[in-house]
Amino acid sequence: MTLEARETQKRILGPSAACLPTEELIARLTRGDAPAQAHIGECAHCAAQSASYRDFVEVEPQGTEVFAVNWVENRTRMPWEAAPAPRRTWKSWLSNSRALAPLAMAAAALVLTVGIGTRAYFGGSPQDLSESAERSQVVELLAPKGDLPKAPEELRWAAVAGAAQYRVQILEVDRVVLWQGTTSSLAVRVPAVVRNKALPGKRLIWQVEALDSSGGELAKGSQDFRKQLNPVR
Amino acid sequence: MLTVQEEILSDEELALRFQAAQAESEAHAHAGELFGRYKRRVATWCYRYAGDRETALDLAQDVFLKAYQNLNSFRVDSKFSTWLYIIMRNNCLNYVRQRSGEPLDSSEPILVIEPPDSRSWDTSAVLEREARLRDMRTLMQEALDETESRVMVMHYSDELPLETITRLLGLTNASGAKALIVSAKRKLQTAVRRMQARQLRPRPAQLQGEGR
Repeated sequence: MTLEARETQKRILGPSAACLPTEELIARLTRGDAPAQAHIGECAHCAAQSASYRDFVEVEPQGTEVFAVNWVENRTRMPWEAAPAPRRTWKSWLSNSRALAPLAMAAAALVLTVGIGTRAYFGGSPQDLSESAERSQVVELLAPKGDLPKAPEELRWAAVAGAAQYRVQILEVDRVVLWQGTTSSLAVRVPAVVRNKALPGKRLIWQVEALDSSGGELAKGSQDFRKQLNPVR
Repeated sequence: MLTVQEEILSDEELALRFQAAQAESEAHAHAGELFGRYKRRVATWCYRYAGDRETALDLAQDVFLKAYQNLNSFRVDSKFSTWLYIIMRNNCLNYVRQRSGEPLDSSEPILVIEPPDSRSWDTSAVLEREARLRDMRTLMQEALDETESRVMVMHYSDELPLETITRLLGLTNASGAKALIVSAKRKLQTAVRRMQARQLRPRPAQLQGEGR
């Protein structure tokens, strides 16, 4: 589709000169304003905005989303409430520490070096690493990610503490499941039938759920990949 | 702690009390009551926009932070629910647009009446183009049902990915929003063909005149 055609579509379906800002439109509709009522009868854009607001006010989570919505609702804190310490990686910490004097940065580097050396010498427990993964409640997906020269042959992720098995899914962007399986290892081979569906430029999603011994979800992670249109040679 | 009386205050009255509060604790109590009424709705919508609960939580936190930062500028002659909805929608749309690198549906365009070259600034061409855009808007309203029309607006105007639209509208059919886009395009093409046939057919009065 050309940019011009796309622009024309936006003009047909987007707001016209006769449209009010959404907030003003809804305010008028709420007051029973007749011209606003008439306008949404002839403008698809404003009718859609009005319907979305109505859905927002009347929404009730349905079916499988109830659990996730409860989870979000229970953890949403008011801005003035003390929030739990944000999860930050050392990379983001360093990148945001512009104010640190170079001397302080050098001292930090020294401490890190000594720390890593000590850990290597005495042998760090792998359990420590997996515990941090559990706290984050996200499965760290290692590969594949982003644009790839060819369809991936394998999916790999990091261990989650307490996980008995991992449920792996490959989905289309509209969440249609192409393939799924369960494993206790940290990698799976991508079946040929799925690799054949990874057409150039088509985005696919893969996700991993870490399950405990009773099948309960401990953590989850998802990311996407796509085969490049023009593979790098 | 909220009093029983505050439980029955309107949203706008609570916002007014927040704005008039002398002490921070008092302001927080009013805002807490007000935001608490919308927590579940915001959580639901953020989840539908995001598709995963961790991102939904970040989005919901951000919505309430922005609402809190701007609550003093809320005009109490408008509805709080509308005001919060706009904050939530803009926040979520920004997130979806930043995240989505995928192009919009790149199949054939929905437009089946090609307007005259839009680069042309000739007056008659501009008028003709505007008339055809009006025709297309009318056709959309006549030919499509409410859900199809909403899906078209959300995809082509709001630029939301189809998977997000499927979640937002709670569509349970096999292909979700994609199926509605396909059926809407088909209906529009049929409607355009009918309209063009009507325009080409001579009017009865003209026929009578020619016969005499």
